[in-house]
Amino acid sequence: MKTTALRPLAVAAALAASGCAGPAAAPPPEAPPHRISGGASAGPLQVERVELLFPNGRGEIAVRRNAGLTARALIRFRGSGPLLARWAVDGMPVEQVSLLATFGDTLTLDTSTALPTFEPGRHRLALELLQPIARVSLRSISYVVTAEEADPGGRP
Amino acid sequence: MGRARRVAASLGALALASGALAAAPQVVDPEIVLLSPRSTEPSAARRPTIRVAIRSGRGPALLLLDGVDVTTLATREGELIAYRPDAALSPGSHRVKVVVADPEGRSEVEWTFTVLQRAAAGDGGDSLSVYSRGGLSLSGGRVLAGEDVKDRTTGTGNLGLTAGVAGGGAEASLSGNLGWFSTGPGPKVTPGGFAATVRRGQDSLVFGDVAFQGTTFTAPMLARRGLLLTIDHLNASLQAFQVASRSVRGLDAGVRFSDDADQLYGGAARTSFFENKRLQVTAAFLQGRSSGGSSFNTGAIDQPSQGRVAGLQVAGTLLGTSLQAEGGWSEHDPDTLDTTRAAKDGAASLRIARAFGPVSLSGAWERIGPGYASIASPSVTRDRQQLGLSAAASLGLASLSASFGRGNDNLGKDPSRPVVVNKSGGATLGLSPPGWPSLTLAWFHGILTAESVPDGSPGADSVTDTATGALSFSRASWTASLSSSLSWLDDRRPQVPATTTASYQLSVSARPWASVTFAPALARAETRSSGVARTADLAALSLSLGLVPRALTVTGQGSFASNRASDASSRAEQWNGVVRASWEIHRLLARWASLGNAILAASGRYGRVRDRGPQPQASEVWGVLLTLDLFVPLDARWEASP
Repeated sequence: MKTTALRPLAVAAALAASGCAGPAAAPPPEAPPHRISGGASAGPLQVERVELLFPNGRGEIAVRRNAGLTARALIRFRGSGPLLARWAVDGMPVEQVSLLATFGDTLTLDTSTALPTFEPGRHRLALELLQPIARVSLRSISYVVTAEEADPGGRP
Repeated sequence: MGRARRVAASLGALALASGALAAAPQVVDPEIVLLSPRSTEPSAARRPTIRVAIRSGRGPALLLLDGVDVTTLATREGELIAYRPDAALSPGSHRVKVVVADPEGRSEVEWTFTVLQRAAAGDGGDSLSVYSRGGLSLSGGRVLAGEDVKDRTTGTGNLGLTAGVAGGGAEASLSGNLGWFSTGPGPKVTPGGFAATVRRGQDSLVFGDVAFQGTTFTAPMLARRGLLLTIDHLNASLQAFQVASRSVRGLDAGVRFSDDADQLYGGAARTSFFENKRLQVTAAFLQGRSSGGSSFNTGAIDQPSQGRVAGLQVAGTLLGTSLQAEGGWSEHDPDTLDTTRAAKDGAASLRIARAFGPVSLSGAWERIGPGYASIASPSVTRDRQQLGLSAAASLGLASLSASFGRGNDNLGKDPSRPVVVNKSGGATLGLSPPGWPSLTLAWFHGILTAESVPDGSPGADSVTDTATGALSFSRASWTASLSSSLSWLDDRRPQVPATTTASYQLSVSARPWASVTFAPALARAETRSSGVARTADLAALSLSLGLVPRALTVTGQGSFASNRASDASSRAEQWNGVVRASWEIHRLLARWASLGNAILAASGRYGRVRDRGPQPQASEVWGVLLTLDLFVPLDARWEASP
């Protein structure tokens, strides 16, 4: 539901890539169960849910080489405070997002520039929360770049 | 261009008000244009060629038809993207969505078009055809040199294929991807994005990764694995589905008939009224259970839940006014492990927008009861009542907008907690003189207070101010954007520190020659609270050099990121980079094999992490790889006229 809004005081940098998928980091332990019963608008910022999606609505996609690919994070939070996050592809930070979130709500964060797709293979995309410390186990999603060119005309 | 516009849009307060406009079915971007089929003229072709023009310099792009990613099946020549469905589309409404993302920013545009009931002659509607589209992508590599590189040999493969039989208005097709990866985390074999479709006329049954679109209060977009039945007749569409309630992947079928755990069932009915379907009515219902917690793409602490939800939505244009109204009802148990029973509650919203010459006005009201929830939309925040108003005007080179909003929670007047009230307002000024940089200045002010504060509750009493400035300049061969945002969160309660944040971004995208592109970007974010200052920096660069057109290309990307805290709780740096020289050799191999693409590439990568915080650590990895990438197209079509 779009009761929420894109709050992109964020924006950021572009790029990066690689096929150098590093070893999978062990996910942190799940936070203890927490019951939501309204009143989520006061108090310090706490992230309760982070869902990562590609434009097809799923957490996996296959695209051509040099195709324009973006991703979206749906973040449900409570409270108010600064939120600082980075999108990272195969462990390489490619974009930084900074904003002041208030009145416990739902955020939609879109990557503002294209994700790297110049190298065929499987790549992992993650949203790293620098602030606040996530109470949930953040996931990464993967996309596959095929060897077929997205643009026969040679557009970079 | 898009960047300044996004900054301006973000200030409204009004999430609510701006969200109302964003929910409009037609989104317009002058740089992305649907050439055919037109939204206003129903298509007589059952297999219409979808043509989208994207301004020179923008791109690349993703193309989705009815929520299905068809980018790999489309062709792109210069500014034009074209796609023709392999099988006849069903009569009725279809959606085209284009997502463009490049160093200039991200743009997302969506249109709808209508296919007429009667198929055009020679359009594949009556002939029998067997087709396949897609290809096999293979990549193999060998590490020539490196340190701390775990896998000396790498191999990946991906079979992406759509194959089917169509004729006499009926079609059966199977599509999907099957990936294989010798290295890296996760499964070695990953089937995904698959769908088995049976279609006859306007009716279809799909098993696989499906996308169901209900109403905003029920399921605005539910992309899950399962079954989706669509029946489209007489200007009405009916959908019914059974899908997994959580995202699944691999060979998991999603649907289970013997166990309703993690299953969702439901459907939707749509119809439209008036010329050009100006008024659309949608009713949706769904119910199911979810085991909660995290899935492969979601981190969450939700408990096992179950519930049912229904919604009725009316959207369209009447008397020059855009409106969207919806009512919803739910019976939801957010935690099936405790003794609390399911709560019944409702939700309602009304969004109106109208233009009066150069001035546009919009308003939105929404109420989501504390017990209201959709089992299909766990990201939604409930227990809210919000009102948003906004106005915007274009005055020659200048544009001006203002917005106001008010919201509160605790709609049930629970005496054990306060009613938190959020009031906010903002204004945006944009200047776009020809030949000069465009400037956007914005200011946002918000007040959070608590009413009916019970004893012992900390309540809420804070003021937020945000000032934003953005400057962007475009020329034929380059675009530059500079933006800055400063925010102050002043919590006026005793013993609670104030927080200030600042962020700065500078990005450039340049294409000085046709074969050279580079895009540097810098971002800094600073936060200060309780006497502790935290700084996060990111510098990134992408580069593409076409040394020999369509033959030899050097591409590189790299970034430097750092985090620091004045209390020494954090101090870390990270360097990453990859440079890849690609030699397209498929033309050289043409006499021996017909390949869609063949690339011999040498790449070097480097990664270094140095953490000098409380738990210091350092690591470094580098490698030089030689890889061969092959793409074998598997396109075939056989057609017989009746």
